Amino acid sequence: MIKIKLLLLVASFSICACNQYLELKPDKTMVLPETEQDMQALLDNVNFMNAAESSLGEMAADNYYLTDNDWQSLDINDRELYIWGKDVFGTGWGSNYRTIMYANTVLETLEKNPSIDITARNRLRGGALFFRGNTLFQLAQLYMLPYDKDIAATAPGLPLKFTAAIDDPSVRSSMEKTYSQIEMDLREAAVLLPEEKPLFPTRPNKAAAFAGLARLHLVMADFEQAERFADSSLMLQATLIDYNQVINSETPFAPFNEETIFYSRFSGGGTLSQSYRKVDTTLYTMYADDDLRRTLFFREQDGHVYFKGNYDGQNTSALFNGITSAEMLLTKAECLARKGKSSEAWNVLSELLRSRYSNNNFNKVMPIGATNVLNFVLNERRKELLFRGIRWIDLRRLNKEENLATVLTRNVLGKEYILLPNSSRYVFLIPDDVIQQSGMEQNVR
Amino acid sequence: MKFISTTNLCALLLFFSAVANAQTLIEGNVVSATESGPLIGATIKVNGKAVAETKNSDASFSFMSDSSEVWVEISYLGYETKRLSLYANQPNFVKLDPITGTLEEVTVSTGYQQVPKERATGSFEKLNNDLLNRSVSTNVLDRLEGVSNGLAFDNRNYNVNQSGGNPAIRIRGVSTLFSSLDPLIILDNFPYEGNISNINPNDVASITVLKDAAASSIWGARAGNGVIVITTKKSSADQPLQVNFNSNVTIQNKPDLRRLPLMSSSDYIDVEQMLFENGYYNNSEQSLSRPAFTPVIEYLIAKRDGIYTEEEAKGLIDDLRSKDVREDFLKYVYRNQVNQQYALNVSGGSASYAYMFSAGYDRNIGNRYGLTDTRRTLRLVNSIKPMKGLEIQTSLQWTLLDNDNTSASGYGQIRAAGKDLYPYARLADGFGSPLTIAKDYRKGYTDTAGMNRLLDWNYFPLLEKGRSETKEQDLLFNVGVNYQFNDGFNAELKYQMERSTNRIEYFRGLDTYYTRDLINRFTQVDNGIISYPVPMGGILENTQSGLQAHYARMQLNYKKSFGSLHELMALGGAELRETNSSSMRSTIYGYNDRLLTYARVDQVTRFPIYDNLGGLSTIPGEPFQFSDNTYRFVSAFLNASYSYKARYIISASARRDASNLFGVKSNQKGVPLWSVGMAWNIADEPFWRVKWVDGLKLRTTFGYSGNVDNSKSALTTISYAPSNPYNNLPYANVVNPSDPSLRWEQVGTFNAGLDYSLLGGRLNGSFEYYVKNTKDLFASTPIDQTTGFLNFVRNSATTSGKGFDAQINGYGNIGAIKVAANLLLSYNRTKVLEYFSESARASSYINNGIFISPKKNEPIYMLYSYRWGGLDSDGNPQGYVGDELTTDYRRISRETTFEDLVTNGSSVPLYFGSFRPSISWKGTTLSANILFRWSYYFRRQSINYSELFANGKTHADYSLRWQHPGDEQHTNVPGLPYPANSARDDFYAKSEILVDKADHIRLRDIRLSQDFGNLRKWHIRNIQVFIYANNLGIIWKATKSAEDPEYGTALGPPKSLAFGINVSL
Repeated sequence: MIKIKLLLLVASFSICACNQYLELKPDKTMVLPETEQDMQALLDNVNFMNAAESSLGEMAADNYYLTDNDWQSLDINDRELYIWGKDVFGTGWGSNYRTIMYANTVLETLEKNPSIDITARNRLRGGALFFRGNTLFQLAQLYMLPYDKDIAATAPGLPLKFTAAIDDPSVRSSMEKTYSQIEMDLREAAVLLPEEKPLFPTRPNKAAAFAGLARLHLVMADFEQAERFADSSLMLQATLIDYNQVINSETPFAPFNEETIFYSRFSGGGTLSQSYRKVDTTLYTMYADDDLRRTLFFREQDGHVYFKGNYDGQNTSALFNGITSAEMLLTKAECLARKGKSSEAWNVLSELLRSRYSNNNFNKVMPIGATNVLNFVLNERRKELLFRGIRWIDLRRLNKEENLATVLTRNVLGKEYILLPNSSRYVFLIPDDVIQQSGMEQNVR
Repeated sequence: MKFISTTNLCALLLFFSAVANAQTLIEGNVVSATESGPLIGATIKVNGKAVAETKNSDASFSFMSDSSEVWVEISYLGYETKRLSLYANQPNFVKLDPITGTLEEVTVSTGYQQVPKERATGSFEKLNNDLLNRSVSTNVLDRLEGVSNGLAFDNRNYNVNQSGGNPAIRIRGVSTLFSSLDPLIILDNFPYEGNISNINPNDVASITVLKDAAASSIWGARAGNGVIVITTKKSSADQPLQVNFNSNVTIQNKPDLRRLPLMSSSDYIDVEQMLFENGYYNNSEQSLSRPAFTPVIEYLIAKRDGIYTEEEAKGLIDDLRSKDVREDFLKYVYRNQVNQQYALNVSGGSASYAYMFSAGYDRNIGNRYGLTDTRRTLRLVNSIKPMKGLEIQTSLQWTLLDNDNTSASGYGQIRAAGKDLYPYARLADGFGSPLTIAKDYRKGYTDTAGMNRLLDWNYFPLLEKGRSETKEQDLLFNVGVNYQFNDGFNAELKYQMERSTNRIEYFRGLDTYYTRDLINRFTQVDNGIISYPVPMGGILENTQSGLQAHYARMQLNYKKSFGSLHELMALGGAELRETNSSSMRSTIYGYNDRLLTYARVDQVTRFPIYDNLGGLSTIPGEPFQFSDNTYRFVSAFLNASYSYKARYIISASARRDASNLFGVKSNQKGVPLWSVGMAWNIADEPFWRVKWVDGLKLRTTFGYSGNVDNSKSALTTISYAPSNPYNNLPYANVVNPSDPSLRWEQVGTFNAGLDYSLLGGRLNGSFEYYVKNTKDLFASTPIDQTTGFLNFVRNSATTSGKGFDAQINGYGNIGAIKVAANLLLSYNRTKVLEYFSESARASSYINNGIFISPKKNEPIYMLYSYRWGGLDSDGNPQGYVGDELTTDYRRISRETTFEDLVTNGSSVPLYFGSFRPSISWKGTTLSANILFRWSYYFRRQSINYSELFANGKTHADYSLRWQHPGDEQHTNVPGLPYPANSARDDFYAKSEILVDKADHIRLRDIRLSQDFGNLRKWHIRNIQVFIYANNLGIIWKATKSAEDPEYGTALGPPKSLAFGINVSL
């Protein structure tokens, strides 16, 4: 009998002891996301949220050139990308969608935890929506045709992800759906995000969301809205760096400087490393002698011009591509110029350029004629926002306008390569693995 | 006919019943199973009462019995006691097995019970002490290679610079693909979680490998990869004092670096010159990070800039063509490795008390100057029987591992000038004085950059030593209480605690380039004021980790014989296991190891790097890093077997495990596992009259074991990281996407075995056939990146494995010469039945056979390749897209379908085994172990030009390359291109032309020993001396390539020679 009892004891012991004993977390660093802190920690993963931007566009744009020797020493993928070859597949698709997955994880966690207080909830939801919308916007500039109202309903868009579930199938939406999703995300973010300047510009605030919307509408050629949002952003944050106060060095601009509305940077790329990217000489000659950017942005060495105006305090291929108040001023000026409000545009532009010229002495006379003012503004945009991924976005949208379109050329080993406006080479191929695994439609290039 | 045979049978039965009540004569002989010698004086017992003893020179016996079949127990000193049925009217030929190691019957240990081998239904393989001591090693698992059936060692990740690494061991192919490939190691009664090097092989009595479900299902959820049970030496009661001492010294050659298939220095220099002429280095010359160049490039720059004349430069460069840095490594860095091993074992016992004490000391002088390992072990085992039926056993095992490393980097561990160390580098000058090498920056820069503000920026490979000390202490305490009731019940309570601490101190002082370089890079110059954020002083990395494991088990055993025919054995119980491992790692700057002072550093600020040599950077090394993991298991188990006449045996087992799987509801945390089995001792049947077959046992089992990975979760989990360098805020990573379909992996095994013994045991062995099917196998599968994940470990495949393990042991005498041979042969073919994410790109499955294959009905580890179309007239490799010959490599990679791939074959051997002949004469024994592996393929390495240009990876195939039109007729090595094309290199590397058959035969070792036997005058029971030569090399291989298919491009372990002595008092 004793033995039977013992056996029963043993059996019952193992059943009832189980439940509590087995609730212990196997790994202390591991948690199921639920608290405000958990979600903030996901959004604060700077490497994945802010520093994973693809530099494909910048590498294909015309801010720089490669010498023949340098081109030959590169890997074949970079060589092809440089000459706008046919088989150029996007890299960084996965890291961009990882950013979206993190945002979706935060959104899903918020849904499941209604107890989180409203201030935190708004900040987190706004933040997640901003990251999702902003990342979709960046992807749209690489993997979709330039925005065009007429084809938007049918042209292929991006796969839109609203959950972090791995079995959620990836299906391409239309251009229209993609852009309206970006707008919805950023608009809601603009409502929810706080006005205050965040602890670090790696976290978005209301000004960042407005700036995102301004970028979006500029690309959609909705200048009315673009101006409105640029203005809204500037109302909250319009500080400029006075370049007269900047000490010239190899890295003149500190990271998280006062002009930065939102911080993000490229993940880096072969042709963009500091010694490869030789600045286009025509571009360099556009800077006047008393334009401080001439010396702060560039260094001449052995007959080449090198860029050092990165807004991240370092001179690597991981260049800053975030949002600045200067960009918003330029957007505002462009929209005003396009509406024919030339002198208003000139005033806005002058405000920026005063901080860029020696002794704050920008004294150019306004050109005559709305077109000339617009061209002047666009030139200044080109000179201010180089090596930030913006040139690629601008090329795509301006090519839609015949008089603003640009033919790009590259010379490699005596051969000339040309990228015509609106060429299908302005769209990168989606990585092949993704196409094969998801069955999505590939781009035509 | 049928009628006749039935009547015959009836007559036979009638005859038996008629004689049943009469006394009949039972007679026979008892011999030794190994030597076939008669065993005179063996005792035959019936129901515990001695009825006869063997006599005469033929060791015959006879006695009268009531029945024609009688259940007896036969014992002989030094031999395993045997129980069996004897029959009247026929000669009974009984062979006894000599006892190896300790005084117990041939039992196999499952960790829960000792099962007499003859009563086992499952697949157990016992390796006795003699076999384990045949080879010499510091690590006990190394001794299993080539002596254990069905165990495959995967040596592909062997690294000559890392001693003590464990090869992957696979029992009967692969079951789990992700969790952990290693089998579960049981030390005595409980899983061993510590470092396997803590176990002194001299303390091991035997090892049992549990291969099928009946054997391993008792270990449940972690037994899917098989189980290895290590049984340590125990004391036994009523044993006079015994002392055993052994010692050996192993001398191992330096690694044979000269055998590496590399480019000559002269070829390498030619490539550098070609690159230089093409302006490959122009960009680096412009770079602000001042990247280092090799001496040849520096000479070429100096020549271009007019510093050297054409002749001067040529002279300097040509001087380097004959240099080979491997010679310097062999001379200044490597030395012969010397391993010393000493072990002492004392045991004895009275009727109620037994003890055993052992001490071991190992000292390994590593193969590089400055490497030493020592291991000290102490073990104390006690067993007390304070009252009848009660036994208390305790054991205490203490291990101290010490590892000192003040060695310079080994070959292949140094990168200089952004590449692998160039082949003509020189480590020392003609007088042996260390030389400097431009590692990170150009020499001209480091010489002048500092302007007296910086520390010496020269890198001397031979002086770059640092000091790393590892101390590991492990304490294992074990107590077991066993009470034997009168009626066959037996209750056990066991508890084990393991506590191990490991501390690694890695100190790099100002005498190391690493530290000086870091200080220099972080030096800040602000308006002429110089500051050093990385303080002047050494850098100490301190890692402390600890392991604490507790096990508790309650178990009730029942064993009873009913009459002389029936026997029932059962056990049931429950156990708790908890393993906690934690670690703390810290980086301390400005450390002074004499005064124990350190400096606080700012690890928050992102500092600009000196002279813009790099981007903004925080001072590296987390000040602190913590980890803390706890795994818990609760299990209940039942196991029973019933035997009838010791001839028919059935067995069954069931087990339920539950663990603290994260994010899984309690009721899903467990999994029930079970097995059933039967065995039939055919040779014991009265109708069995084949005289030359004296043992034949058929057994078969079926059951399930499983695998669980506690790091997986069904819900989205995130893990915190301390702080990010941008803003010093904590942040989190998503580690695990939500996977509602997460399940336990299950392994179902069917096993059928036949044990045989022929010709009086002269030929014996076993043959086992098995089917091993896995369901819900964990594997890392590539998934659509749009999900935000690159790949994902999930239950992704169903596989089916089939195989056999055959063993033939033969013994024979030619006069006084004894000959023995053992042959092990295993076959395993595991194929994929189902693969859950199949739509991935075909070309992504071309690799070295390390990923799971998605192709149905093909081996799970499979080598695929691109079809090879030869070289074209420009020396470019050609492939196919469909049937079209092309050099568009990107198209090949994109458009090749699964059907287009060349299926080479399995990348793991389908057949493998060993042959171990031995010959002995008057105490002198010579034996060898020959290993073979069959039916598999490997991918050779060859020249990869992109890797050559970018990383300095060289290969001897370079000299066979295409050079002129027409060469394509007799070579398959592509020509030297400029610029390099990584797609072309990738195609060549993955083409079928580089796949070779890996089949080979290897002479693993030879052992010569001399036993001096009993020297009573000196109170010595035995002295044995031996010589053991190991890693003797390949005897035959199918490939013509110089590579060893087992180790790939890496060097295998060098030859070694050991001398040893064993003394027993």
